Amino acid sequence: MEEFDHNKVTSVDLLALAGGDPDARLTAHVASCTICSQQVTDYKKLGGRLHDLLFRADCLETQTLADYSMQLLTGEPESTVRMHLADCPFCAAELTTLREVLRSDPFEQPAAGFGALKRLIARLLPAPAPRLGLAGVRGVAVSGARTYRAGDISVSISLQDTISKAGRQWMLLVLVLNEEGESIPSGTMTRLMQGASLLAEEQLDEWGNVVISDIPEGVYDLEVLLPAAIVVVEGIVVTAAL
Amino acid sequence: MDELTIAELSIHCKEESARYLRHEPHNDRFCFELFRRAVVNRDELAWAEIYNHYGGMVRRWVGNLPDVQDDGVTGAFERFWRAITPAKFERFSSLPAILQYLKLCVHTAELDRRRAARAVTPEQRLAEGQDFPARDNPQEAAIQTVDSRAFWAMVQQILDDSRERRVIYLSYVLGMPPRVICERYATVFPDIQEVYRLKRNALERLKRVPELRMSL
Repeated sequence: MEEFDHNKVTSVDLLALAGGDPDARLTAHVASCTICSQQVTDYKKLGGRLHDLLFRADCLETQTLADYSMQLLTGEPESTVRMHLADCPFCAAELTTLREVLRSDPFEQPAAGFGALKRLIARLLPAPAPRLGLAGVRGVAVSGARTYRAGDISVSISLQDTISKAGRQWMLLVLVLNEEGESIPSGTMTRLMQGASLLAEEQLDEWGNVVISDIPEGVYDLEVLLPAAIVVVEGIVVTAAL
Repeated sequence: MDELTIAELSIHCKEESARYLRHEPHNDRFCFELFRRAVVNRDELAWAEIYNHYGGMVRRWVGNLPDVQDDGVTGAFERFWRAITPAKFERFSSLPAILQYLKLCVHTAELDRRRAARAVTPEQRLAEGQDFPARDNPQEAAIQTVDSRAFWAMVQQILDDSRERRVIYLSYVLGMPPRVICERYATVFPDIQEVYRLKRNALERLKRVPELRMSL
């Protein structure tokens, strides 16, 4: 490969690289240049911290969305909500949820014991994640993990980025365990959803691991289909820190 | 209707509700009046009767949601009580509409719980291997939200270029990658390099501010 001229590297180039827009020659240069590598790392940290502090900082109160869904807002409050919804996919999705609630009869009593499986929304745990079994077996470098819990089921997930012809994509590594620390039965299905669309469907192996590859940037939900319930890890944001 | 006591209204309300559930002709006005006295007159006795009468229904709505705390019923009623002012009540003309709003309060509480569970837990930081504490306490999340709003107000004051503010808003408040910004806002940001340039300028400015350096 032709040698890359360090003097032609700009901070915009490095920010783009940190943001997930790979340039093969620049990537190779940064890998061997401590100055550029540090700048990329600094941009990632800065971007990550800004995201921690600012994510949904300007979003509407859920009760405001409720009022809007019932057309209780007029004038400036209504137009403020409309303007925000034009940009914000998160508030728009929540409004859709509330509108679906409004379509149902308030007196309607849900049938017990039949119909769709109960959905258990998993909560993020503060404790360090268990070491993923997959890492030892396949030699995958796992850079970090999150553990979620719903009932007696824990779901640990981490992301690994890859660069392919399609650009930068991601690989999701998942480990599912029950409260006793044992794995879930081999063959248990997991689904990666983007909204109502199914992106991928994979089965757990005998140790409770599954790898979902070639994931483009976006926001996803992971579903683990158990016999009595569906455990859901919501809002997995797949992107570079910037 | 004004001459009926709360106790009498409650009896009639129960009778009419039972007729509704039997698919018989019924009259909503007694239950509606109970709500009116509770909300508009702030009559605590009326409010207690509403809680007794509709608590079971709210419990079924709450029970249909996954992973909800035991205080979901009380929380829904408290939210309803705070949200439905006398002025707002005037906008409701029927009992079903009131009950729809009560049901929405169950779901907004659930949405807040989900927001709190995801607050300060950016999944995209997984690649950097940094752990953040799980916060599923809506009150804690509310404090974080207030801090976030104050921080965003500060950022907006620092960035006097409207395009830089817009890029920072889309990038970090809404979490959009640059490619998505260019796709969604092609007329304003047709060039991804321009998006990165604006972002770079904004980040360099934000990095220099002393009061933000501590946070960053």
